[in-house]
Amino acid sequence: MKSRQRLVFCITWLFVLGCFVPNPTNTYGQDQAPAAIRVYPAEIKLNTSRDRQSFIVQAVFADGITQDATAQATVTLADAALVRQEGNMLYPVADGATELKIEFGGHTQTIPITVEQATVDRPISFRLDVMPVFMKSGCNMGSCHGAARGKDGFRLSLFGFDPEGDHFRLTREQSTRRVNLALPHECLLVEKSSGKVPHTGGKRFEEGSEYYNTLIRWLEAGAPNDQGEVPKVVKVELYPENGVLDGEGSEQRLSVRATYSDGTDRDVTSLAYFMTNNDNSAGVTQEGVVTAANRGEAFIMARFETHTVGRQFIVLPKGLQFQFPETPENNYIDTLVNAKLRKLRISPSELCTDEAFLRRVYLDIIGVLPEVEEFDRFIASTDPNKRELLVDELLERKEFVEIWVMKWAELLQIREVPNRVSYKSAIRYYNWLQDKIANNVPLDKMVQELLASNGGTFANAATNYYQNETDTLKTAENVAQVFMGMRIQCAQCHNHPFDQWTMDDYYSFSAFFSQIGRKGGEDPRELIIFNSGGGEVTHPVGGRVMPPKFLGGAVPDVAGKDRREVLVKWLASAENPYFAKNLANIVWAHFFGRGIIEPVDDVRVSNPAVNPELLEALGTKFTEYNYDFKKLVRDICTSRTYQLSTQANESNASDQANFAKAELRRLRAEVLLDCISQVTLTKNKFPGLPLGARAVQIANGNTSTYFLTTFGRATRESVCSCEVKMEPNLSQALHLLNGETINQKMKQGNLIGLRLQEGKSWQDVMTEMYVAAFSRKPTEKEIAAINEILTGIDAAQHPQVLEDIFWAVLNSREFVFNH
Amino acid sequence: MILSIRSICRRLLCGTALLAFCSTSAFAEDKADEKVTYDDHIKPIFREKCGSCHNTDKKTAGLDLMSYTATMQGGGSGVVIEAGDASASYLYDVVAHISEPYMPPNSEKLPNETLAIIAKWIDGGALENSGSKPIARKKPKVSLSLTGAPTGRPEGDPPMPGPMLLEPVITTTQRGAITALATSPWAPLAAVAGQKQVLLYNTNTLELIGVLPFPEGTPHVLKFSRNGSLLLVAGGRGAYQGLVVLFDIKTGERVTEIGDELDTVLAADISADQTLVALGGTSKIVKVYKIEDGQLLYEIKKHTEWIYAVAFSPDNVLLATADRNGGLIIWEGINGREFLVLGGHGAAINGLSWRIDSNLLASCSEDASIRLWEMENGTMVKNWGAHSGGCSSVEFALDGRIASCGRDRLTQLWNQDGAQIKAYEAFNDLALQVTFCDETNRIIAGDWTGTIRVWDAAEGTLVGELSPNPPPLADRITASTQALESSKTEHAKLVAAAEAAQTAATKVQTELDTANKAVTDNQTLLDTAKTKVGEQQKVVETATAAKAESDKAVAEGEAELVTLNEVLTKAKEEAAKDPNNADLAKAAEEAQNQVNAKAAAIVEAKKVVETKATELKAAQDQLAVHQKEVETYTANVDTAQKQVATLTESLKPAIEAAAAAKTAADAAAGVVTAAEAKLKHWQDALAFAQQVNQQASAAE
Repeated sequence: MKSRQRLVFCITWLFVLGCFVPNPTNTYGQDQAPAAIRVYPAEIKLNTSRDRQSFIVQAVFADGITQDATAQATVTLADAALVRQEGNMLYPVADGATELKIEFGGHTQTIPITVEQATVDRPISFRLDVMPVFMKSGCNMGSCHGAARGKDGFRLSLFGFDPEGDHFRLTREQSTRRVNLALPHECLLVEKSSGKVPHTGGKRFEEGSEYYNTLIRWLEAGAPNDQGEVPKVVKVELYPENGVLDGEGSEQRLSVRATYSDGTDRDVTSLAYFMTNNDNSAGVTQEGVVTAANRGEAFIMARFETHTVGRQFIVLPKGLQFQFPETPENNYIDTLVNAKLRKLRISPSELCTDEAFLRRVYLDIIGVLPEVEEFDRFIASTDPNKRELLVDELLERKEFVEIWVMKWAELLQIREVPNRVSYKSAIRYYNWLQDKIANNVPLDKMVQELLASNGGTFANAATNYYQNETDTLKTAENVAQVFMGMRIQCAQCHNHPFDQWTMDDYYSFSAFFSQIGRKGGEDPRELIIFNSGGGEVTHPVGGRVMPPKFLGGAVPDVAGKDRREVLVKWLASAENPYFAKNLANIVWAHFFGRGIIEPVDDVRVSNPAVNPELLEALGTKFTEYNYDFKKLVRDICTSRTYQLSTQANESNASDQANFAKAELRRLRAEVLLDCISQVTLTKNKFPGLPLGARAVQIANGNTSTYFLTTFGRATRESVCSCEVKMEPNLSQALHLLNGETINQKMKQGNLIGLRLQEGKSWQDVMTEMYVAAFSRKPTEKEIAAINEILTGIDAAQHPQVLEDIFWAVLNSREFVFNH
Repeated sequence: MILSIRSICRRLLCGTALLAFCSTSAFAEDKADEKVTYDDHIKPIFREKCGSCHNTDKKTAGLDLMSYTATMQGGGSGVVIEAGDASASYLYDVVAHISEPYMPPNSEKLPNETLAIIAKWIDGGALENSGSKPIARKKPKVSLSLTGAPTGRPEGDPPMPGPMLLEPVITTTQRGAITALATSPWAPLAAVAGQKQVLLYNTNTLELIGVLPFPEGTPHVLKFSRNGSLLLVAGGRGAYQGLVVLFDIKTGERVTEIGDELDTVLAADISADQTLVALGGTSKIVKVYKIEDGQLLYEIKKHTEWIYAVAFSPDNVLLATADRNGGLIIWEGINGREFLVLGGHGAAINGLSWRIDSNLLASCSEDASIRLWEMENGTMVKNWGAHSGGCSSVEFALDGRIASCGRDRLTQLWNQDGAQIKAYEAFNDLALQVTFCDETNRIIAGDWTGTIRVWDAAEGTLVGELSPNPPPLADRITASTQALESSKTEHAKLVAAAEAAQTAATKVQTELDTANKAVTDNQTLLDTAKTKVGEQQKVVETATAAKAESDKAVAEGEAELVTLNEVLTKAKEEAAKDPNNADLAKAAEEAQNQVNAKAAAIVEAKKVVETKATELKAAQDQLAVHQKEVETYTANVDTAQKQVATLTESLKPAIEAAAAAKTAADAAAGVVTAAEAKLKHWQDALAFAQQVNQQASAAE
């Protein structure tokens, strides 16, 4: 009844808030002058009669709020005889140079304009004019004609990676069906896309639209293919550079400009494909207008040709008054996280309690719960640096090594594979890894040793990396995904749709792994890996031999060298801009349940870091620490950001990405099982391990139990970060409630029985239960409630009741989650 | 309970929607008495908006909207039309976006006008057609069936078009790719697929002799019936409509229309006995219709890809069908029972052609090969790579040779054993269609750019080109008028030139005659002069002799005088010596006398000499005159002869030039006549077209 009242009150209160909030205390309009205006682009070049260029005016207010002032600004052309202006679009009229003067809110800016070949019509180009129409209209998407087998019998290359083939398929694959030069308006290509005849994909554009006219113009010119060298897009710019939008409904128009290899540029706003990574906060229309919705942050992207560029947009509640609280900053992490939160007008949560910190740091660093004594000691300590000391202490425990051996074993896919990787190999591989981590070998050295390894898979277990995966291309993909966080698989068949990688990049990178020799050892289970010195990777389109090239880097000299040796010296070094940041991100994600780039192995232009400065700093530190990740862990765990409470405040309640509060994280399968065993005083037996070993210590990825599988233990079949499943589901809940694990372990360990036998009071038993499972003492309310139950019944029934409570504790979310 | 709530909600919602409609449609359509019927109003809407999924072949969600019966039957979710109550009709709810799933998917809501029509139709009782009579056949019965399947030459004159429309339906600025070509087996007649029309050409003269309008879209198939009296045209508009039309070759009239596809027809054929038409396309289903009433006889659903080719055997027994996957299947034509499955092609089959004896079938494919199949066991008897990149068209000639063309831009002629007989000049783009004209032994092929070339099959020489995009008659008349004018001008120019040349020749002749006369005249004079010289020379000789005689006489006299003087002197001496001797004196005297006499005689003789000398001089002078004359006349003759030689030389070319100019002028006259005829031809054609149009509009 009480809660119901509260709900009603809340709703009423919301309603009241809803009525009053729109009354703005701070309107961004004529009554307040902006602090500055920004005008894009910085200069305008109009070349040939069909060229055009849009411009954008953005007002920036003192508190950082931006406003699209393009329509309100006063725009004057110095020489109106050269350029024609329609709205925010400029068209060439006559050759010459002039200026555009823009005035708004007391600020003035001028941008130079040059007009060349104003009366010369540029001939239509299939690649430069027609192909972008297919991209923009979605024709060559993977779900439509871009599918590998096309759609309804018609195929276009996915996102247009093969214009030559597309020209063939449009004009000559079925010579008399798709285009008809005699009647351009009535050919299938045009009628279907403009919805004049039924089209499974619906109407893509209107008759008479820019896209429609482009197709017609191309057909009327005889559907020509491009002859000779066609300029390539070398740069795509998206304007404005960022935006801070004031309240739901605020809009900001965008402008996209492409620069070509011949030095010309074009306004491709109408041809760019717009995306947002968070349409809950800011949506973007295909016309290029960003509209603010709920509070938050969105990365708005424009894709043109193979280039994707993104801009950050922050959406704030209308007229928000915000004061960032005074908070101490333990180290650089806090500084950078808070800097981002200031931008977002989000306050971090309060520091968590000692109890919460204790449990959190134990589970995260060593994967076990604090024992009762450890709990008591920590809580009792009055040392102001006790948290830091605890972190240092835990980092020296062997369980810390075990956690990271497990994580690396997942990335290296350590497991037995029938007929390929023997059990012996897998175990040796695991031991090699454990040796490296336990001896705190710097990670760059470890990776270099691993990837450049030669020899037998028994003798030099690191070579197992190349027994696990024998396919050249797959190996390259795995290396990119694990050590650089890049999923380059897409580029095997087509240029990556949402990243910078082209097929050339993919095959050039793969060429580093084309000279791995493999031969059988004396033991049939052993494989000997060596540098064969021969073998090349060829491009599937055209069959060119691809020289090895670092992903996003240089083309090294590999003549007469082991290509992998050459690669690792770059890959696991500061020269590789992705290596340190990627590993730092993996470490970060372990402690926050979420990477700065999330998922950690999906680094791409269209999936930007939520806090690039933070990631950069972590990467730099990691390099400075000589790739000793223990030091990095120490930085993270001693930061205030890590120690925040899970309790949200008004400003950070809806934010989950910016580390403004601690997130609830379900314990991963191995740790959960170990914790249940720890709390119930039971032991597990896994194949190949002694009784009492912890699940974290399982070496072979193939070893599992029903419990571990249900809670998403990685099978290590791929290097994907999604192998470890953290999502809660119904079978997990049912297994905990009714499954064998908890019931049997409670029976087996008989904690309640033992303690009562020892003569402990039920209060003591309950306290131990709570401290062991939750790292906190029961509250008075909890004790009172149980007291109420126990006092009413016979003492003989107490163990039964206490067991029920224990069961309830183990099934509670407080136990299953790290908080 | 739940159901009833749902229906109440729906009713409420629809009630409002309906109110809105009533208010708009009632005023908008004053001619409210016009009935909205499925056939006249609704089917076109369904076709356009719903047909890609809810058609007879796909039946998405079990619903087929392409016929009245099927529509009223409903789909997987039950009845979709509640006659008399649009708001209670599921179909209406989803298209009006009253309930989900909104239809058509991924599209905007249908325009309100369209929705109003659908609502009116349902509210009006969902009539099938005007006048709630049973389905009246829209198609009149046609009977074209022949007895048996004729494979030989038909008796009488082979069917050729009579007076026919020559006004093209449309003339485009660019040409499209050639989609279909066909030739009559028995007449010098070719059919060419154009835009919304089929063009008939005489393969001898390469003249346009007929235009068959096909406003439904692009013809994709052209096939002459076995006796050459009908032309099958199949095609349509992509993703919208497809059908087969039969034309009468002699009159150019539409005999019947068959099929009602939702995409253009890609393959079709008419059976040899003219009772059946088979068609296929993107639905992957081959449908065989009876020509008689246009009813579907059977369907073949075995193909897994678009149907690219179908062909009835000339003996009327078998039907071959082929698809985009390379699937080739032979059926019993009359009932669609499977006969043979011919596996082998690795890519789309573009063409099928039967040998006239029906024992051999040729297929051509994107896998570059032409394959020949015998029909006893379905064995592939021949297989050769004909066109690298893909063979796009194949046709058996009546004599068993095989014409083909392909992506290698070539057109070729083969023996049945796959040996190449000839390859013809390559096109500039993909060669798409080929046909062999048995009557003229010519091979006709067309390419992607819309060029159609006609070659002499045996010689390989290019005879000419056919246009898939002929100009309008008005243009033709303008062009012909211009041609006539320019030919006339040319003619006049040539006639003038001929005359001038003739004059020039005549002048040369005259001059030659004159020169000849000069030669003759001077020769005569020369001869006379020469005679005179001869005579005069004699005179001179005589005078010379006479003078010599007189000179001699003088000399003798003088000699005698000397003697006499000596005598005298002696006599005088003697007389002196003897001055008395009279005798002597006398003798001296006598001697003196003699001397004096002699002296006198000499004087006389000298006078004679003088006379003779004068005479001689005169004679000599005369001779000189005559000799001079001879010289003059000789020179004259020479000059005249030279002139004659020159003139004789130039006379022949002049005559020839004159003759040539005359021939040219005559030829130009021929051109003028031809141009006049041509102009008249197009003027007649235009008049005919106007007449037909007038009749047509009068008939309306």
